[in-house]
Amino acid sequence: MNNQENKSTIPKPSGWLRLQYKKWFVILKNGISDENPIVVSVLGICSALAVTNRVENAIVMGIGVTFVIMGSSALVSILRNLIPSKVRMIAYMVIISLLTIVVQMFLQAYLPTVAANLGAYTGLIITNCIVMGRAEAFAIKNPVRYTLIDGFANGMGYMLVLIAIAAVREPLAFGTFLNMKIPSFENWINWNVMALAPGGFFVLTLLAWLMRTLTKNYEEN
Amino acid sequence: MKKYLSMMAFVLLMGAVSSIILMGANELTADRIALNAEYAWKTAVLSHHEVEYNDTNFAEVFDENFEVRSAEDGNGNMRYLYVNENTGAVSYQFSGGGLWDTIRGVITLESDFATIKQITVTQQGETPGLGGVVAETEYLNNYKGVKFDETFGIVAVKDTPDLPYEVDAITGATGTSNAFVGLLSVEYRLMQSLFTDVDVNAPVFKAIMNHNDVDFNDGNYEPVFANNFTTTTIDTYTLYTNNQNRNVSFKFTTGGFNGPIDAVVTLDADFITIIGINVLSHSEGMGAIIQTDPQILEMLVGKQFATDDSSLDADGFVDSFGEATTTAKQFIAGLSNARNNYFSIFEEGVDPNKAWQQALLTNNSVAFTEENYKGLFESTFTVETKDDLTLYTNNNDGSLSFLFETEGFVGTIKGVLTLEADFETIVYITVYEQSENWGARIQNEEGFFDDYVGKKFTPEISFVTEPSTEQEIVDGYGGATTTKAAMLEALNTSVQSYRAAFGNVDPDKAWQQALLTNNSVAFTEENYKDLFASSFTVKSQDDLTLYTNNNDGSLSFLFETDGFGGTIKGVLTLEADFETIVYITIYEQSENWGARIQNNEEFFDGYVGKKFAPEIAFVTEPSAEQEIVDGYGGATTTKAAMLEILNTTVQTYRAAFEGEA
Repeated sequence: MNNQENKSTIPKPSGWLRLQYKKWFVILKNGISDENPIVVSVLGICSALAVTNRVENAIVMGIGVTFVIMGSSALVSILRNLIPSKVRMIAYMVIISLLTIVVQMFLQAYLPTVAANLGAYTGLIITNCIVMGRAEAFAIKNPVRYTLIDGFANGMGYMLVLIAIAAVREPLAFGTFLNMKIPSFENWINWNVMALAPGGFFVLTLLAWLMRTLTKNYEEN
Repeated sequence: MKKYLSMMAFVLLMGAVSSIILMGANELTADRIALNAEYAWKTAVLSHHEVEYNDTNFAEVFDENFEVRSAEDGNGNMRYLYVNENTGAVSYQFSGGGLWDTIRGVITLESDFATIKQITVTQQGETPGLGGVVAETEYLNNYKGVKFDETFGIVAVKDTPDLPYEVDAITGATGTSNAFVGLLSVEYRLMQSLFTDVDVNAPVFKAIMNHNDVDFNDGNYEPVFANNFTTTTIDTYTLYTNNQNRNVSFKFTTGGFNGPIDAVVTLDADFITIIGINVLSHSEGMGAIIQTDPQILEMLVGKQFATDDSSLDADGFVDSFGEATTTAKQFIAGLSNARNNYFSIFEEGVDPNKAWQQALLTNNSVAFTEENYKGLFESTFTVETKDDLTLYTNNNDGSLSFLFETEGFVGTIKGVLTLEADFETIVYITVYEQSENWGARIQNEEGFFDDYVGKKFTPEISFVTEPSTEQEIVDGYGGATTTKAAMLEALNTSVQSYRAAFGNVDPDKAWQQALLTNNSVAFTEENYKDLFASSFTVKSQDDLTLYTNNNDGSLSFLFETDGFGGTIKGVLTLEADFETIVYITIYEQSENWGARIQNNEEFFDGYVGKKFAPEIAFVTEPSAEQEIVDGYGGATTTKAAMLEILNTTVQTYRAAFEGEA
């Protein structure tokens, strides 16, 4: 009797609070912010520098990478009990490139316009460290459903940062946003440096600094 | 150990499974991908010409609207030009190296064959956002109305374009821009030379007249040039001399980073000071500034060649190329080499044949001096020529020498190969001209070919790390794999063709041995002629010849037909009934897939005992005695040719000989 009374006096935690302790929510949050692949883990930098001079490229690349992380992580997770640990890296490589090439072939055959737009990204996706990083850090020891969430989260975390960088670089480099002229930039003199890799370095570094300061994420010795 | 094995098994399994998946995916998609590629470029051409089409009829609309002209380029590839029958505008597909990957597309020119109407890029692999812009319509619209220039082709500039052949470069992607206009210009020149009657010398003449400040226009440049300049040709070298001030000009070719660079230079009468210099064509990427930035070549004007070794002080010139130092260095090396050749031939009267004649003497261990090499050359060798092959036989020891020539990594490699009289054993090899980078050692490293001495072409040589047989030679090329491959190919093929031409091979050997094989007569290289004479009775009627086996009466005759790659020659042997196949042997063919008819020893085993009743047929599952299993796979042309020739030959021979037999 006493017990029952006690129970009713403790207020039930709010829905929001309970949500924050669900495993899927934690994974999602980690991928997008706390362990953001670019600004925190510093993975996938090469492609982040190369394609972020246009917002459009950032979106396409982000979607491509998200899709490949989800697919390859799910495959690695399905096979995780079969893959001998000594050759797991090679197995990831094979799985990732196989997935990417097969998808590219089917796109070329059935959706040629999409394939033409994606064409050059394929190589960049295969070599993206995030894909391999998630396979090693997460997919090899987690069940499939969580790897899908993790892949999605990391892909989104990657894409959001790419868009943020591109949103700075494209207007400064070309006076446009998503290839449309920005009205107030009519007499804009293009900053060529922003179209080139160094521009990417500057913006990415400033962004990483800002994010790490805001989230109080410091690396300690 | 068990763990290790299971790991191995996993890796092998993974490899196998992924290969199967890839092959399967390729099989499923290959046809559609090819179709899509065809769709991409054909619809691009149609839209350039503003022709209406839809997704199902594009191929027919394409065929209806364009007249197709074709011509073979220097490398044996067919090139096609699509001419709009109404407007005269022309389109063609182009391809060439971009900065990272091949760029392919289609270009449409106005009926003047010079002004660009539109360009579409259908394939590229440049960096997205930078060089990748090359495929974007907005960028390619900049090319509309740009006109190919005789001398410059088209040129990408960073500032606002103001000349008719200039076009905007892509911001931040100078390498891709230069490679793109470079490949467009190279392809344009090629198509122009194949499909129009343009004078290929025009850009040379015009450049030379510009160097000499001679006034001309497009209409009169030929007579003006002829009036002002004297043309002298020695061997393959042509020199143009200004009649007034005796300035000399010549065209030359150098190596580059991507390919050869053609250029023309004018020097003062002493061959020392550069008066003017122009690049005519190139396919450089970063190094394209050699043509696109006029100020760069301008730096060479006024420079002087050193009188002793033709060297040119070009430090500033090379520096101005930034990263593209290979282009600059190759160009300077080629320029001074060309100057050296022209100077020695036209000014010092040196014989242009000197290099290879001396190399021939070196190979044959004949000591010579600059004065007596010509006499020694004439007295040492007997020259024999067949078609375009020339063989130099040493009068003393009978060793055989000939020249070979091949394309290396950068440019042409020329050399002399000397074999012993057996046409097999290497006496020595000397390379007397090359412009390789790493592979330069084939000329510069003395003793490079020492390991080749005594090795034999039986029938070919190969390069290996640890030679164990007489046809294996130690691989001394290091990283110069292109040079190595070119040398190996050139040596093996030249020996083969010289053997075929000069090796005194019995021309009847191949078919006589094939006849003996068909009749199961065992023979050796020595006795086949006698066996042939004793085994067969020969009967002739018109141009048909029948060989009857003296022992069992089987009948043999030769047949000949055109296959996919060339002539197929073979022998067919039937039993005395003129119907049942004893055997078939092919002794000459040059098919691709169909090569199995000669190379697969058991190929005709399925034919034995089958009958021409009255004809044979190739089917998948033979049931009747005239049906033979189809072993040709995809070699359908070879198959059709074989079927036709076998059936018709049997018919002809039956008509001619059956009555008597």
